[in-house]
Amino acid sequence: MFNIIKSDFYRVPKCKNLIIALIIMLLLIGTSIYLIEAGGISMSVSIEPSDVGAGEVAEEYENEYQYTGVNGSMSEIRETTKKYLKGYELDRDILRWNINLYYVFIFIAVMAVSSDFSNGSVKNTLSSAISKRKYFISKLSFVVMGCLIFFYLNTFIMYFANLIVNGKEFSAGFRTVMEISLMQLPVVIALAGILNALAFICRKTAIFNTVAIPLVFIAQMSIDLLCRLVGKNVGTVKTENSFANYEADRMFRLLANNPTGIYVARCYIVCFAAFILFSTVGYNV
Amino acid sequence: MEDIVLKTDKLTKKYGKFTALDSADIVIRRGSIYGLIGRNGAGKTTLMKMIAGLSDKTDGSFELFGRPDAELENVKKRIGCLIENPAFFPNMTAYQNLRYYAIQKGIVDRELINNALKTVKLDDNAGKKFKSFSLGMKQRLGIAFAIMDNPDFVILDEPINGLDPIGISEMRDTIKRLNEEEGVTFLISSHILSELYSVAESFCIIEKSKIIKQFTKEELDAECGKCIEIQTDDSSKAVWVIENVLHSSDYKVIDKNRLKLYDHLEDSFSVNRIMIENGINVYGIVEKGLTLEDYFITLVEEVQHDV
Repeated sequence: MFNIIKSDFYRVPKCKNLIIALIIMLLLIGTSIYLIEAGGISMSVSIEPSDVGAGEVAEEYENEYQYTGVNGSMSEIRETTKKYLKGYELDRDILRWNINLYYVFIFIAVMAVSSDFSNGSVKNTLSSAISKRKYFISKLSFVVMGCLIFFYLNTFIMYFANLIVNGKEFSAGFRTVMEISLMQLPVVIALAGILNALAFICRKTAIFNTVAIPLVFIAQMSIDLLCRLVGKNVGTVKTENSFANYEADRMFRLLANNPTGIYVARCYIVCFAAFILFSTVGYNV
Repeated sequence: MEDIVLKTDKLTKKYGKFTALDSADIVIRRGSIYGLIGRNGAGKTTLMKMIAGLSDKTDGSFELFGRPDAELENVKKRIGCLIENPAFFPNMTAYQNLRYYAIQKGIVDRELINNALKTVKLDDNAGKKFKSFSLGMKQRLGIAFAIMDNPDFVILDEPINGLDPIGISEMRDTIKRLNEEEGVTFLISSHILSELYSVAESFCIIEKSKIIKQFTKEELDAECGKCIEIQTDDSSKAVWVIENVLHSSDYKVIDKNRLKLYDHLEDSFSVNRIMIENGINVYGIVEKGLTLEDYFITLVEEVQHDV
């Protein structure tokens, strides 16, 4: 089993996909840090005062934005943002957007599992090196490891790049960043488990991509629909919220925002259940 | 102790209601080359896949190196396989592909990779990407993969597919050399029966998911190898002459007017003369010999006729 993981560490760095995944990750970090806006892609202002931890300046910032307008050059927008959002913990906010990494994780599952099935090379491994059970466990281990490596690479690069480019006043501090990343760890592992299972279920890369790419939207829509249905039946808004909070995107966001102990514990249970459920299904396909 | 490499006992594979292989019983002895013959979809690859651990059996069992199929993982490192088309990572070179599998198999000695590439004459193309390989080169890389770690038992499914005549000849020599010099046991399937005949010692014909015949090369030669076919007015009288005058029991009566004699093959003129001297009317006497292909077709037709 160890040899299979070792062989994947030999092969995967030779894949072009790895370079693409790294570029995507660095682009997300780079744009987020340069524009001082988590998410890194959108130029629109979507900062909620409660999220940034600098409520009093956010309103002023919104006004200034209306004055400067989004037509200003990127450097102008950046300077305005820096001026009015001092104390904005950008690194914490970027961690809230870690659902973006899901798309990077897809690359890992494709490189580790789907390519093996698509090329048919899986039969070489199964016929001469290992059993199906150990093959599944090896691939699961590799995908989880790969996702964790990318997750921490993203965290460290983002933290230090933010420190260098924007300075201390835009950072929550190394300890906080590490605490948040540790809290988000089960979500990353659950996503890795889900993607690995999907790769085993779909087998071919094209089918896997078709399923995995829109999965986050589908999950969000389904949970939203479920919440509305259940919420309507029960007649409370509270139920709707509690359901929705255990969707991956929400978990990333809320776990980065000083969550309660109960919420963290529930997130861990949800992640563990999802990991076990999907891995069991993936193994048995 | 390990004289028998593979022994299957009523090995069966079903996909829903479709039976891909029905109660297959074969025995492969150590150091032999065993040929699997059958039409497309007959069940050859299914049998190979089950032995290689790529497919689960539905019923029956098999033993590999004396170990039951439940312990297949323990003996997997002793087998090398090339089943269906050779599949490797297109963006990796031939060497990198083999190195990847060498790591999986726990092979430390990289020289084994170079030796395998040399054996299949791919050492000059070791640095070329798999996607740029011709079909023949891909096939040879597949064989290099199968023999890389000096296995005791090699399973090759259509190994000469896509090879040019020189490649086929080289492949035949390689298989024979590995078998004779290193005692490697082979299970080979091929549609090119003349090639299979030239390397294999035992054969198994599968038709419609069932094993219809197993025989050795000697048995095949005896049954459909060279013979003298005698056309006469009375086979029973001719039999008396063969037994009492020619002193041979190596014959087969086909019908009341035809029989085959497997002796005196070089002297059909004398056989004809003796028959006539003993009052037998000989209408025709010809030297005949079925090839493996003819034999296979005959058997398959018999099965179809029975059904």
